Amino acid sequence: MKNAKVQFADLKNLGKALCLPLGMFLIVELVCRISISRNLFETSIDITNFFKSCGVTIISAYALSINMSSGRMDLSLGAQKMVGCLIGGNIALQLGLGPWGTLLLSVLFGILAGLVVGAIFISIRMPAMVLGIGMALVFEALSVAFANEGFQLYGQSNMGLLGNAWFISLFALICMIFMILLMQHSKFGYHYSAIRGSQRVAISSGINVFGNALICYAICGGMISLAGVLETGYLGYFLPALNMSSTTIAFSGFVPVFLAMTLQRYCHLTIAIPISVVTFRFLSMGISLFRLPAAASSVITMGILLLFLIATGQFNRNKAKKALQKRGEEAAVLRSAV
Amino acid sequence: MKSKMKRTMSIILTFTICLLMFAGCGNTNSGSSSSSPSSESAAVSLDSADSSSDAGDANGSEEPRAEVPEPCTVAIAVGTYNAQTLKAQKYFNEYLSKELNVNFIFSEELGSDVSKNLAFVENAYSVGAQGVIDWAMLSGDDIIPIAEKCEQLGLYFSTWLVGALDGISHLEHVVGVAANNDAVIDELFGEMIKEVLGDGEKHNLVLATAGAHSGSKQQVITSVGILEAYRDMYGLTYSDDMEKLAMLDSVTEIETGVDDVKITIFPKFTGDELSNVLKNGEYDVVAVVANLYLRFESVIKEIEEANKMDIKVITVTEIADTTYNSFNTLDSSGNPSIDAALLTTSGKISLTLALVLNGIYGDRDAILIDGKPATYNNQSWICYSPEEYEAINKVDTSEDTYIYNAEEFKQMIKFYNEDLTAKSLMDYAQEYSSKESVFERRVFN
Repeated sequence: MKNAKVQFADLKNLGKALCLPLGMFLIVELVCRISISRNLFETSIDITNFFKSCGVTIISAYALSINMSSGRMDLSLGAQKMVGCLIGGNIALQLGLGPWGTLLLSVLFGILAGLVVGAIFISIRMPAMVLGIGMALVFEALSVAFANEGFQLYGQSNMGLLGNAWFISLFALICMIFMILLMQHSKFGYHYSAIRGSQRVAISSGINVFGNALICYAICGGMISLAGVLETGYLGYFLPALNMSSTTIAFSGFVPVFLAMTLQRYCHLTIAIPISVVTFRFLSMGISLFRLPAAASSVITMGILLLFLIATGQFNRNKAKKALQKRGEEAAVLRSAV
Repeated sequence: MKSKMKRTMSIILTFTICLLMFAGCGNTNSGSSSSSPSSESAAVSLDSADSSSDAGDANGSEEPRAEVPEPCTVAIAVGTYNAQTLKAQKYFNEYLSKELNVNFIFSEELGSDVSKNLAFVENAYSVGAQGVIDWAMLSGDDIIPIAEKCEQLGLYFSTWLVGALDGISHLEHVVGVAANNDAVIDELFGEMIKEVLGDGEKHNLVLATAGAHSGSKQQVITSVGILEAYRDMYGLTYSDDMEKLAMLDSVTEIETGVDDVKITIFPKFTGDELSNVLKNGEYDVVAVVANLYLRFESVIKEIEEANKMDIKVITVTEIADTTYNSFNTLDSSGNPSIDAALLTTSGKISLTLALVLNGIYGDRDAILIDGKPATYNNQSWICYSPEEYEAINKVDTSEDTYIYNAEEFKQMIKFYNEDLTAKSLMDYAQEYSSKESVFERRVFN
């Protein structure tokens, strides 16, 4: 049980992390109001779109972060999403399983795809990125061979539920709770953290590193497919991709994950991910109000991320320098006392 | 046990990778080595082409032809495998291949990557292809290096890229371009706009220009066609040249010279951004110049429901089940999700093959106009209702519904049709690719 002081420090840090989306919202709102006389949220559609987009990106970002933050860059994640949606989703549609069945079958196929990649990874110990490229090509080809016209939920009866903003938000919340329980309050999560720290130490402590990796791959596959079905629910259509284009599908959550990894000093990654997703959503909503060309929007988004990383890096360096200085002074005091 | 399994897996994987290497890199030297069988076959085709062009010059004094042409190989560079290209692949491989004695090599998905296209042409040459058809997604001058590579290797070349001839018509192995008829695009859009918006009211338009801003000529032409149709309907005066407006690269409300008609150019691809433009309910028409409406239809439906309005959708699209679904899904006003569609058919795809085969069989001269390769046009189709689309959706699904059956296709090749000229080919393609003609000739029950 944490003592009150630690709990207070945790809450203080969480408060600091929460300042980021709040600050971003205020800045973007202010800039939009001053320069183009518009608000970030003008109609109810903006609110529902905000929840839909954040919900899907949070789930994608979780899927992306699990392997990424432990050093396994899985480039086949987008293709696993294709397997889940194009194969699992279309089978469910053909069987007339309805929204819950479609969701379930897509997630199951996603888990299966993740398990296949994980099993190959632990069997042949190939670098995760190289394996990801190969598996992406295989999964893309399989998915397109099965459903070359993609996965369409628009116009399908009773599928409106999958695109509902509250339904998507509920699933994002469930995923968040699941991730918090899994990563912070389970044996799996402790092992995962130990492996992230040092694989060698984890192995010598008797942790089954490869079993852990296999489960990670399965969770990632399931989550990315869940994100895929919900995204198709509100966009209406999942476009098939070939020739490695699936790698970009999963990386919509890449920038938020990157930001979340720098926010880890304030809160756990599972909490940092929703915070950074919301922050980036405010930013991208603001940029889209300016109606800039796509290239200019990307330059601004990435430029802001870069500035943030530079500022964080500088802040950390200064903090480390101060700590070193303090320790030096303490050592000098001790030496003079001796 | 575990290590044995690992060893076996490693050996199997190594073996597979070696096989893949052979498949991918095989015959790289054959381009320079005259002794390899593949280059011999390519050389034979080149010689035969040269000699037959000479023969062509002699105005029919050549020896009588064989009844069946020698088997030949045609390589097809595919930009993206969508419903249209997949149907065409099936039509070529399962039907035309047997009927015409032609082998086809289809590329993997090449996207808009010029280097991948060039590598495909080289590989096709090394395995004995005599012609290359480009169904790639290249734009502007990107087609020039591909055509030049074909020229260098002696491969006959045709493409579906609108306006491609500008930089390649001087090349001796370019046989022509098969494209939709640009001249009538604005007429067709004019017709669709009058049909859908002919209620005498003023309608505000969001024009989704897709890749027009990056130079896709087809999409520029289509966008200009829509702007022209709108100008003619409401007597608008644009502040700039329509081509420049179509090529804008950011979401822009353009000046129309009329207060109560708004037009916004939308060069983006995501529903989220379209939602930003439509959310206030000012716009009630969305026109899409490429097959992108699938990304937008959910957003449009949501806006219609939120604002209790009817947004008319006029789009370019392909014949596919997704289009069928859109025609048969009603929006909140009880209308089909698509109000009018300009359908691109497989007619131009077949035409690219006919052009290349004329080249391979030594009849390139017959399809030149003033000694230069020409653009051959295919008819686009218009559809307004689910009932009409019901029959259209069956096109190109079997021998009974192909736009050109084998006998009709042969009429576009001089080897089979001695009377073929560039003019007659143009007329034939125009007539036979029209909706009326196809519905007259085919069985759709």
